[in-house]
Amino acid sequence: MNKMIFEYDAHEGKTYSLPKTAIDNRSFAPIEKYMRKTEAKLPDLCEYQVAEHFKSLLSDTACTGDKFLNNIFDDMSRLDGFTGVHPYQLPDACQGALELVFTLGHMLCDMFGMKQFTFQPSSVTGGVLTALGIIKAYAEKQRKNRKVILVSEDADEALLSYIEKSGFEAKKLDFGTAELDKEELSAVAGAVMEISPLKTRDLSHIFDIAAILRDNDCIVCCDANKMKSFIGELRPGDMGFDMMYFDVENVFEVANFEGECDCAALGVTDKLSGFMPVPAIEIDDEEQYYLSFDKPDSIGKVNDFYGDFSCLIKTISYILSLGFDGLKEKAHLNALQEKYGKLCSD
Amino acid sequence: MNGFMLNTNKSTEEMLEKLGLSSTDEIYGTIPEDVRLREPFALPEALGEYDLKKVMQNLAGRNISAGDAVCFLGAGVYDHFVPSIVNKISGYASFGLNGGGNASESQGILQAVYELQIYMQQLTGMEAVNTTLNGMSGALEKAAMIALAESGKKKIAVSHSVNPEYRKCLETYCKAFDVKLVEIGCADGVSSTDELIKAMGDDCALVIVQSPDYFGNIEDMEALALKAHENETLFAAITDPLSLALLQTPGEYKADITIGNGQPLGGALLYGTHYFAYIGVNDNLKHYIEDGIVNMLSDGKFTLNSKDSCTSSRILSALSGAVYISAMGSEGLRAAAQACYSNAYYTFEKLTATSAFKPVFNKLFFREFAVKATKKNVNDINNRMLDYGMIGGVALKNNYPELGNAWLVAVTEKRSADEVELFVKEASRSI
Repeated sequence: MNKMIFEYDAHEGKTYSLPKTAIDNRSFAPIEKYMRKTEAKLPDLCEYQVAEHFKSLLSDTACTGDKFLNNIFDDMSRLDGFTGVHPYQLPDACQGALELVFTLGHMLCDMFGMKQFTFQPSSVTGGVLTALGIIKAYAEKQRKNRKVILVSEDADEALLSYIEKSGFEAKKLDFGTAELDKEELSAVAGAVMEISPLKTRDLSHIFDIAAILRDNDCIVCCDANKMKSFIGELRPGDMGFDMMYFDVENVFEVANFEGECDCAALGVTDKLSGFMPVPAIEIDDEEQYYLSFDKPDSIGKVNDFYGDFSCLIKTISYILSLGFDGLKEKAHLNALQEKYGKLCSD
Repeated sequence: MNGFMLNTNKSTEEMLEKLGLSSTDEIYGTIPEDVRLREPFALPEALGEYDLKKVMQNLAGRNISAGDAVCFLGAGVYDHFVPSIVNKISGYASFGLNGGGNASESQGILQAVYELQIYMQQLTGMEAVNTTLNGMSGALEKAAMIALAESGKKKIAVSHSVNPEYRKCLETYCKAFDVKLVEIGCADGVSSTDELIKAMGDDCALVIVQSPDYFGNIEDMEALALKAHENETLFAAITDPLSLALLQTPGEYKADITIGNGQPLGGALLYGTHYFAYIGVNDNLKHYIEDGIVNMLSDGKFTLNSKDSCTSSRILSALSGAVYISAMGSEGLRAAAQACYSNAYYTFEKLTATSAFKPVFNKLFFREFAVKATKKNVNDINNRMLDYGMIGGVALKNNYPELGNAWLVAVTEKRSADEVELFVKEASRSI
């Protein structure tokens, strides 16, 4: 076991360095009443001790896995022109950041057959929550009191609990075989269906169901977390989906380790673009990018600032590195590995 | 491209054979013919490492970076000094994990997160702190969830002086979950106790106040918490972790919950990318924040309580936070906070000594303050500052129209007397 940082002997003398400002320290007298009365017990160590401590902690982090090394993507996310951008800078002062996010959104629209993408939602739950928020806002706008969300029979607990918390009712169906009752469809606000390489047989039926749902003005949403096996072969937009969401690191292999990225992507077709979270990045006649908050039907902000920008830098780097052929080749390999993994575990 | 396709398990041919397939194409055979993609979507030709770098450097070069410019912009994300060791160690950890490792299985990283939890307990004065939340929206959601579950009530009151960014996230959350959200009015840039009482009523689960608030003003948290408690309402404080090296802690003013963004503790600006966020509570509410907390077992091993993988998201930034605090130490943190306090007052006095700026509030503040520009629109001032390599403050009128032509200026420990002098000179020039 490693030593705790509190067990090191306190270093004698000053242990830190701060910028030289030539501004005198001011007396605390005016804020005396609002100052902390108890002392924060934190160690005062020299850099040598801090380095020794963390080096010993990290000596056992090396992991072996079957992912490629993405050092270049990491490096790109640490470029000074990205790490030093403040989220409230004027558009003129962050055209590069805006262009990056705008361009990535467009790439994904082409890749998946959608009209608009947002990267604001957090990973894991953010995509689902935003999707449900949009379904709710759409139903309200249509003045329809629709409370049912269709989900697959193996829908996870998190999805079911968010459906309930959002004031909807989940109804389970087997999307590979289900016959929809048209009478009941008037109560259905939307459906969340997964596309998986293990269920490619369902695809044709999902295609048919999506058409019926759309005819009845239900929102058809794709849980696209397995989309990494379909890039270049299939676009949810062509399948009849109005909306799709996925954790970026599930579809593009940009995370060094599981859970590193805090970013979900959510795409919609024309019908739903007015409900997307604000701000959207748009481009004006002079080809200047700007943030647009002027969306009266928007569900609002779903995250502080604009999502995990660092992850977006890595994602666009990944896509540019692979190109269409590379992405498609990778999708084939992913699908094969997924199917093979299933075979081995059965 | 092939470098990204490492396949160590079995060769493609072997897998195909075992699956009884002749090619991977067959996997897609059941896609309805009319939707299977036949034409490639538009993408430029694949780039090698060097060419990718050129493209990305070009994009990065079209931003003005606080690395080159002098930044007076804050409002929740601050340009603080970060010792080199912070990024060195996080890069080292990231490289070690590279290859699909799981951070939550690394004892060393878990120990660092455990130590950060203790640091944050010390800084906040709360009994338990979780440091692996997904940004401030995740922290706000958690705080709301605790209060709603604990009280059974469905109303939340949030102060007008809370960062609008956070209030907008709360609005979306409350709308989605049918929770009533009301606002606590302000007087002179801080939450008013009378308005607090009015806003709470008798069905309020949670009061949320921020100190230093969005304007940098130090709120009277003790009085506000007392009023909430008299009303049997939980009190959540949004805190700035660096300010806690100096200012009264949520533990001292008896907040039930504190949340905050860890960014001032070694985080880059990175266009607002989430660093770690924290939530602190006392023992009576501890069971609500277990998910994502690192515990030490009796055999000295560390374990992450995790129901789902999302809690591991911010582990690497939690590690950076731990390194930052360790490198600064108690004295360094206090000195950095004192410099923020001193530099902000210095800049405020210089600005308001000119005829171009007036104070907006008459309150004590930390690191950040609001001034009203008397001669020029603050958007024009900000544009002009860029010409001089400076990033000006936030124009407050978008979110606070009642404040008129007001400017929110942040001054961290990085700003020197020379920089402030140039800033004041250019900001107050009347042309």
